[in-house]
Amino acid sequence: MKTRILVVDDEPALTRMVKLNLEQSGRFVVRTENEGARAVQAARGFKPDLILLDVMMPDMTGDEVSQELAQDSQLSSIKIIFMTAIVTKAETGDTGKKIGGNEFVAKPVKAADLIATIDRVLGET
Amino acid sequence: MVGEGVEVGSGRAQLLVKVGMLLCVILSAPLRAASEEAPFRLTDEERAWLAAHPVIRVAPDPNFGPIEWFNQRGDYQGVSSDYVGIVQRRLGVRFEVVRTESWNELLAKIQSREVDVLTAVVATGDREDYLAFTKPYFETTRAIFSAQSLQGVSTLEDLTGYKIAVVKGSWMDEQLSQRTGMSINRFQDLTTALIATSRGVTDVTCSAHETMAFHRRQEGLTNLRLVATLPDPIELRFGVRRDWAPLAELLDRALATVDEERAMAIRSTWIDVDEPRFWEKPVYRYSALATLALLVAMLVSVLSWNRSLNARVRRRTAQLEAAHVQLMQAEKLKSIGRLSAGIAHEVKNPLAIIQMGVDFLVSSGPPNEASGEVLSDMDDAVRRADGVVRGLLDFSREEELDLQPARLDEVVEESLRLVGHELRQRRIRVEVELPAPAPTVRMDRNKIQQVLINLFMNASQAMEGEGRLSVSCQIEDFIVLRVVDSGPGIAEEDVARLFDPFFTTKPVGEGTGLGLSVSRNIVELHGGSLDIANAPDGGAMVTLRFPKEPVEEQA
Repeated sequence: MKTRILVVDDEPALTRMVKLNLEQSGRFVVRTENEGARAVQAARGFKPDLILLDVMMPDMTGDEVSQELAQDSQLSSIKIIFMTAIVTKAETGDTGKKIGGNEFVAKPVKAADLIATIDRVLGET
Repeated sequence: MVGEGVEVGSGRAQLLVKVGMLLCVILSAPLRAASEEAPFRLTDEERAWLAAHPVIRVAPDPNFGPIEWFNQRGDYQGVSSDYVGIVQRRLGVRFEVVRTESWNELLAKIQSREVDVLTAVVATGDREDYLAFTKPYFETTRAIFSAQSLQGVSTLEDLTGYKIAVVKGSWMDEQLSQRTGMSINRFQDLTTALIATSRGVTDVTCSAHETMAFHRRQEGLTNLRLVATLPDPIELRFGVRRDWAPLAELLDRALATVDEERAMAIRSTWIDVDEPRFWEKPVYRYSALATLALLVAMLVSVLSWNRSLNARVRRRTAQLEAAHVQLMQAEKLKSIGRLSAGIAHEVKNPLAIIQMGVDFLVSSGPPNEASGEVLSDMDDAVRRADGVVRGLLDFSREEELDLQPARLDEVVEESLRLVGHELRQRRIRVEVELPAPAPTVRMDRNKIQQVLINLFMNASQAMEGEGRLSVSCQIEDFIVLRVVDSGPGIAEEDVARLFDPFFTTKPVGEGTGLGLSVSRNIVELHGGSLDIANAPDGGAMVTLRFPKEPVEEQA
């Protein structure tokens, strides 16, 4: 069974690229959203195993999205990986850095690194 | 009443007698002098000769004061006039004084026998042809006057190369003319010769000391100075036309009656005892020198004070400038920090898109080899661009230090370990010299490691072939950590720009030009400093200073 990933970012091109890469590996089913406000709704319908969530979106921040998810008992167990443009690799380090219990990846991230991070986060359960 | 009057009258008579006696005493002096100069007995021959020559024309030099000259009223003046007077009285004759315009005219007239006696003349071989000389009656010294301070001139020989002014036909003229290589300028009279030297037409005037001093005073040629007096005095005599030689003997007889006392009296009548002017007196000179020395001392102290003030001003100005530069630098870094946070988001998203796009194309298998290379180049380009933006972001993170005490040796070792692969690949020998136990520094360990890694990488990239990287630590007022490489050092033109953001000497794509400015920023946030200079034996030397741990931390 393929892992279900919801990708939320205000950049349609980026969500498209992430989807292409993840699906090319043959291991993931990917749905994309380009507005923070629609992320929670999409999560309810799509039931992802993991959400790749942009931190800085025009309508809602990634933090706000994650808090809404946490308030929904059905969605609170969904793993989240934040994608951010303003965290440097020096800070996330090779192993990534958890803030508020969530993993971070710094943009631009290589597809292979992203998949490795997804595997690690999901493997922890 | 009457008695009283008689008494008064007799008192007046006594007074009159006394005054009369006094007058007699006073008046008798010149009378006695005159009697001493009364005519002496002449032989018959002498008397006959004088009778045969009733008119004797004497001709003084019109311009040779104080020996002889004519004053403004046309009176014959000077030493020789006194001697002429004595001779007249002794011989009981009256000379006719002939006034000429110049010495040269005078010489011409004695030779043509238009005059009979020259009253002050130096006996020279040439002149013996037409003159019979008496014995000398006056002695003078030769001297050199100039308006310049001539160094090392003390004899006539020293005057080679100088323009010398002399009176035409004078004995000085004759003396100098016998020498070769002299630049002689002949003037009609002494006054003219002195004026020429005073105005710089000629360099020196040579004549009798007393006469030059006399005419200098008369003409007000105050810029003329005595340069030197010459040895060997000059003797002045009467010169009688050769065919009147018996007159010379007569004159000698008359002159012989002048005793030394009388000669001295005549001399002092006409010649200042050459009393030096007050500024020529030693007292004046010494006090002037002392004053000058005092002034110089004051000037020197004022100058040195001025200098030290200047030095202080310069030092303060330099400090101010350095502070200003640091402030500018800090401002620059801050604004870059603010800016970079803003643009990082806007740049990193497109970079992420490109990165993912490249990754997708690579993993789906590029259609040909060229496409593979294109993708590889794009991958590199993204990494480079990301590096620049990441460097920029470091500015905006400057406030977030996580300070913990850390042992310097551990931080250094850890940083070296992280670049160990690079150093080994480049065959760089590492020398670490840290005191034991190594000092502890409160630091954001990750940040300081970032700094050290940056410095080690810079050093290793600067060294071609086998190099040496040395890390040492001294504990002074600060904890001083030095990183020295054996590379070529820093070019002089680069020193000022080393810490400018984006300044790099590395090839395009290899350095962002942010490493050093970020590193310095980080160290300064720790209350320390980071400086770069060339090491004494070449290579670059980076000096990091950290504040010492407060005592409580060590407890």
